[in-house]
Amino acid sequence: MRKIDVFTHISPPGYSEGVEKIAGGLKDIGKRTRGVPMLHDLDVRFRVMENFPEYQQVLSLPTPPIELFTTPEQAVDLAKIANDSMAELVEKHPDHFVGFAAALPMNAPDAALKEAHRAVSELNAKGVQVYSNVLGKPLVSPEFLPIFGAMVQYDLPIWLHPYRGADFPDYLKEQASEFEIWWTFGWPYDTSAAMARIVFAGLFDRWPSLKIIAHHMGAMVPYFAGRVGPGWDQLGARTSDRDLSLVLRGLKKRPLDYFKMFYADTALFGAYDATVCGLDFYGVPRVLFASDAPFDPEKGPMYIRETIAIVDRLPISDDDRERIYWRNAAAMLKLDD
Amino acid sequence: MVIDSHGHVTAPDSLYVYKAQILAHRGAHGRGGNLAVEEDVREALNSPVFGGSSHLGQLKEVGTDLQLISPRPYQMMTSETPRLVQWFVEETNNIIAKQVELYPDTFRGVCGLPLTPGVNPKAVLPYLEKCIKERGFVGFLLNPDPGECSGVETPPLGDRFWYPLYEKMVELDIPGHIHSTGCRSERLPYSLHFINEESVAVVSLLNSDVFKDFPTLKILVSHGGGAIPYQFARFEAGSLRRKGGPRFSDQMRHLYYDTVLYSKDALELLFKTVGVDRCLFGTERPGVGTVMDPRTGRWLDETRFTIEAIDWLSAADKKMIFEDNAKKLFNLKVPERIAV
Repeated sequence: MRKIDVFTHISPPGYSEGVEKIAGGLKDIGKRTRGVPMLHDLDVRFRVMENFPEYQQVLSLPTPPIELFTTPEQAVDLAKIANDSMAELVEKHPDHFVGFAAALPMNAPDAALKEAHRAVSELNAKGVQVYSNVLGKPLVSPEFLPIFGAMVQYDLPIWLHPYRGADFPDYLKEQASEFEIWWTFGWPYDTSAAMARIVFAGLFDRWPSLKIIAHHMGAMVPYFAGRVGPGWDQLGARTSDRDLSLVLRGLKKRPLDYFKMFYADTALFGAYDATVCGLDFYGVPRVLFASDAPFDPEKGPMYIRETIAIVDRLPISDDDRERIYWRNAAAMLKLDD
Repeated sequence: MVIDSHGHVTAPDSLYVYKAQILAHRGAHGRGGNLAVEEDVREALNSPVFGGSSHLGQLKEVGTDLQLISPRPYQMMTSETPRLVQWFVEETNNIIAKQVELYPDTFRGVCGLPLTPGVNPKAVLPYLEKCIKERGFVGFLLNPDPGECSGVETPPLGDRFWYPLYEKMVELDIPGHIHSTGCRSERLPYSLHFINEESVAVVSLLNSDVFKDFPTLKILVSHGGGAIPYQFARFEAGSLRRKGGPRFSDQMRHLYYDTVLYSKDALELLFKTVGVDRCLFGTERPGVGTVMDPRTGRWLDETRFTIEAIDWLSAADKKMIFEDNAKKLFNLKVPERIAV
């Protein structure tokens, strides 16, 4: 069965060099990405991919977000380099790569919008990747709203990738996060918070056809559907200094219903029960196969292998399996069959 | 930077209460005045309007940095008695001036004029000059049909009747933005009247000596020039028959056109017909196009995104449409943002 892995990361030629030049000394996340050959080496990537028949990828950049280590001018240049390079890879290797999600220089919002248009109209990008916060600002800040509108115009998705660093402490009284909690729990939390801000900003009322792929099976939302559902139906019940019930009246639906408008991917690193939980929440039409390769202990194959093993044994029809593996993605990304 | 050259004021309800009152007492109670305080004006801009979100919210959603706001044309009742028209136009302009004062980074004002049928434009020139010089307005709405289809006609814009106004426009170096107001005809809705009047205005101006007599006159035509960019060849034919005279299509480049059109094909036709250097981004948002098309899930007046997605326009073309042409035409003094 054909498989389109919608969330895989690559540091394409030209981009790696650019990052190294600007920010060779990035800690933590820099260490994580530098030590993974599949990110940089196309031969390694192809060898890993050959283990999985009928397997194709959608490319996107790895963390850290460009805006984290650049000036706005550098970010604009680097995003262009990355997008040109990913477009070239897709063009040269159409059997391996069905498309890419464009990178955006979010520390230069006007330029980010222009780059989104350039990437889609000139480079045939299948959408854009943004992170769950932009240098500590919410994605729904006014300067970023046109990016959502532009993607609605193209009817293409926004890949929502988590980001948070060790500098985001676990406790108010501390200076930094310990034991990579910022990654393990911080990332799903950050994604969930971004999703909530998108919902409560009314973006799905504004643009009901908005397509956002919330990484890692929609983060915490499916597991906490009880809090998101009946919990948030009482919005305002726990707050005294602000009448939050007005927010609910400003929305057309229950908060829970908007969370179900996100798309989710299967990148859960081998967690079978979590996959079932997420699939139950979002439903087959909104779930897409993804592995998050190559960030696994084997530096590439493991998450692909484990995720396929999970999707293969989900108690669903082969027709639904086919939709998760590739048909949903092909329709969303407007791929030729 | 994105400048929306065609927006209309979202005024507090009290402005329209005022209108109802003067129409009811017809001046017997004296002029009175709109009593909207600052808070009312702010609230009007921050409260949900048609389309769900607020006027200010809707600008943010598409990334509009600056909008030129003018009176809501269909409300202006210019076919009423001159005294009532003058009061209401002035009160509307006052609200616009207040919004510009409260939101100087977001708005610039384009004023209405109390032109009424049969009245010589000379009569309104002192008020126009005051609006521009003392109150900071950057242009005005030029209504070609103050009679609003009531049967009392005003000469077309190519007629010398309008010359005193054109002399003042050239002197002040300000553009007139062609936009008719209401329509009293039973068979012609005001929205279609807008388009008809723009078409009449374009043909009348270009088949006259106006631009020979006033080569620096600045005229912006609403709604993409009415029907004329679509129909120009009909008038090109006439110009070709008049051997030796200018071609109609060349004459069209004397005018400027806003992009208040709600389809990609229409926008592309406009850009190709008149040239991008004559086009100013405009949306009327929130306004007639603030409606979601269920087929696409998009709001019709998200014109920003439609233009951005036209791939044959260069980055320089888009900058002209979104920013440069408006700055030039309206002499806008806008602090430069750090460009990246």
